Amino acid sequence: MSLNNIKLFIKNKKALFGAVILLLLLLVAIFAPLIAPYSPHQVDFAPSLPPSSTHLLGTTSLGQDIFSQVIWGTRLTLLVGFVTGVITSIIAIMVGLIAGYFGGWIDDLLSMITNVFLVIPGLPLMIILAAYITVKSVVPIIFVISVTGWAWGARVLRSQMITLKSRDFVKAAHVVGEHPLRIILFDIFPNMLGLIVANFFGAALYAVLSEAGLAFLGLGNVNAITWGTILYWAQNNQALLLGQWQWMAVPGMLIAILGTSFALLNFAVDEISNPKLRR
Amino acid sequence: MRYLLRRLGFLLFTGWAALSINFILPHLMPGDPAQVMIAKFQGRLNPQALKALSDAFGLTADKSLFVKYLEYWQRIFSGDLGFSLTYYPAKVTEVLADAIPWTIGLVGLGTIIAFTLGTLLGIISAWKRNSPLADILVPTALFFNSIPYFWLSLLMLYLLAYQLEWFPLGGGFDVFAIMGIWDKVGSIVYHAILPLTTIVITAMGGWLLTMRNNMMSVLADDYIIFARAKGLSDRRIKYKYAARNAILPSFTGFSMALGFVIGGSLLTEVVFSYPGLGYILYQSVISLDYPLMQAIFLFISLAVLLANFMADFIYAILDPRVKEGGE
Amino acid sequence: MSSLLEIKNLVAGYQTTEQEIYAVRDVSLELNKGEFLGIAGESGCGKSTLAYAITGLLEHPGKITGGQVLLQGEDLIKKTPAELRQMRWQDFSLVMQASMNVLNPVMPIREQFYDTMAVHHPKDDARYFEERAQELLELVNISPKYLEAYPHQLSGGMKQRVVIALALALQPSLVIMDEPVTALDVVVQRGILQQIDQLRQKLDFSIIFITHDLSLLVEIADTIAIMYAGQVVEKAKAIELYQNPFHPYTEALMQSFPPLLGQRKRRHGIAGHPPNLAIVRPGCPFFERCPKGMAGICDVKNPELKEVDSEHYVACQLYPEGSENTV
Repeated sequence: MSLNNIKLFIKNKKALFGAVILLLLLLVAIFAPLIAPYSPHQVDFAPSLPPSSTHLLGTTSLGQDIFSQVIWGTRLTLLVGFVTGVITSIIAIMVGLIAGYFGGWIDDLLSMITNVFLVIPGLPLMIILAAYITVKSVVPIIFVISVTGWAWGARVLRSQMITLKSRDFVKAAHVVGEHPLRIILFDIFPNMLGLIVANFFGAALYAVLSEAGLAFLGLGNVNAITWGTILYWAQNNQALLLGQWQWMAVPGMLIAILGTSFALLNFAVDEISNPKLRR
Repeated sequence: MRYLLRRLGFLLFTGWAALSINFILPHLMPGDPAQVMIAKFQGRLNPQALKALSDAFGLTADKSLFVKYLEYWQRIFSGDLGFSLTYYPAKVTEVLADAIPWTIGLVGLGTIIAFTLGTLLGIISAWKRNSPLADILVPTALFFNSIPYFWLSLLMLYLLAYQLEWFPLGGGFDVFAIMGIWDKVGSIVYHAILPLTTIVITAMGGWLLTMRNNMMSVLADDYIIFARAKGLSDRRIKYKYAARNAILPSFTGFSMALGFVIGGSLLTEVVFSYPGLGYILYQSVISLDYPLMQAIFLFISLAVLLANFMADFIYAILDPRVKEGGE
Repeated sequence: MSSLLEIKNLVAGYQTTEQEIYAVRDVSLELNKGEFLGIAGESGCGKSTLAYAITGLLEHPGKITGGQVLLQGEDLIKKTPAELRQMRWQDFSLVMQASMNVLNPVMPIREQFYDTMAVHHPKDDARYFEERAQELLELVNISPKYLEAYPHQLSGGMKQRVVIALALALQPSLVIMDEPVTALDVVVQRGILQQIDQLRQKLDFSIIFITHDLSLLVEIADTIAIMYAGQVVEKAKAIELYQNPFHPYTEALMQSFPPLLGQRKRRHGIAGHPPNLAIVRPGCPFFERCPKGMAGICDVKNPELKEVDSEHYVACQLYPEGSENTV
């Protein structure tokens, strides 16, 4: 991204808003031990307390402080989003760039695989995968989301690669006899950065929503604290019927807000790198 | 024609791939999930059923993976997908047959409504760009697109069904009342409104953004400037020139969008105890009912592939350029 | 000859959040009935912006900030969008570069003729439209059977002819052509140019022909204006300009293509780049690239367009008003 693009980024209201939300949530995650008044696992309080000054969001049916859980949950939720976003992006970049750069049968094969993953519905596949995996932890969940979520990015990057490959400066590098890896890394990669960044945020959004969905179904490790698992426990303890609506509303709202910040960033980066969308 | 044949080839290949993934997954997993399942149902099912189950998963005889794979295909073509463990002694196919119409109704209607509304709003948002209305549409769409389906379902259920009692708390229709046909239809519609609304609200944003971005690209194209130069009416330029071209990429990206809607409606069904595939998938997952799980995945994959092929077909009708071959 | 179009001190540009681009800077031109005016300049000199400004097609962030465009005495800039739409194609039409997507890719050629005519025709007279469309295609030597075709089924040259036929549909008195033969091969270019010339003789309309390729204009245009950095730097009868270019920029442009007659010399392009239109500096915009630039004079004051010979205008410090002498 050039200096000019960074300027555009700051001037873009959507980008700025998304970045500010994300930054705030990141700070909450980093300083969770300082912000949260109690340990998220501590069960010393009276169960099902309504919101009060000592328990901002009340307590769970087990007597845990919901506010502390939400604060601590920021960590793992963000981590799942980021790690999955990175892994998904890496798979998408590798498949997309290799297919687009080399063309021929390599492209045919990789595009075929990409298209298959694109049409097989993601969430059902994730549910099945997660149900088969007997190890209960966050790691398989990250794995499952990454495996099912890379195809769209690969497709977009592939077509961008094909466009860039026909540009003069890439052709020139080719004629000079530069190593393909060098061309990809130094000539093409910088020109795709916008798309890659946009794709990363898209993947992170997908990851956060998928993790929440899987956690809600009780897949993965329901004892790890993410906003998704808080919702799982809220639902299993009939939070709404017991009048503990804040137990349900707050984590879900936060997922939507985090998701919106990823979506805003995705949209804004797309807008900045594509002048047609910016009129 | 060549285009459609190619898409048909792709449909068959993807179908094969999806079914093979369905077969191979339990065999790839550590700790042999089938074994876990058999152990879980030991004593709960009669020995005959357990035997049939072990056979179906190729656990009893020491067969090679390839032979099991062939048997898997044989079972699929004979339509024998075994017994459901949760709904024993019902056959998997029977359980599926009961659930499928509900999901198809929900997802089908949800997709059509969300696609229509989202696309129309996308057109407005691009056409009236730089107006306050259009400025607010994009962030709103991004927000609704980021709401977890199941959470919105829960809130709607709590507010509109539990608190205000405007809608029923769940299910597909009123099972206890004795009704005539029209009352039953009415009851089905009444029960479908909340889940349908959830799906439309969350899915609409995606279509809006897709259409908006397509429109924005198209509006920069020369034929739009030329159409304006010709003095055509705004209405004609907006629909016959811009939207007509901008809608095309919506069909090529259809599969992914449909995947999202299906994923979302599965979770929505769980919340509303809606008697469709999502609800029985959830039941099968929590009770480790692998035969039912496999069959649901199989059906959903094939249904999505078919819907996707239909989208390709519409695309071929809408874009005169694909008839010459080329994508 | 009476004046058909008068452009007076037109100023236009683009205002984005990042920068302001001054693309058309105080341009005044006059076009008589039946006249063929060529406008030439390198890409990025503001000539396309000029075309859009004249035709009222400049869209946000583009803007006209000053001047008048008088067509038969009426100022087009002051017209409301609705009034302007009434005049479009009846009074003036536009031919764009058809190698781009000027024709709607999903609409048959026939419908694109029909809707062009329908705008200004009170009755939806299909018989008349059909006859007229056939007649127009024949006018540009294309078989009427191509009315069935979609744009992608036509070659580049054919598309360009179709666009020209469309431009003549309502017999406008003025046709503005923006790079109408660019990106076509030389033989096709020639054919189309000849056709334009013949049509003009036959149907008696005026043309503003905008191109980066001055060589195209020399044979066919009556008058040529040279644009540089948003300004007209020289204007004269085509022959006069060709035989006797005053402005150093015109001379340089002439040397960049082979002469039609006489000895062929080595061609060379113009060193350096056209100036960035976002920056306004004192002095002649060509100063930095000018072989005859006079420091202390040319970089201080931007020369005005003056008539230095009869009907030969130039904006250059080398030529005092009314003199025929070169310094």
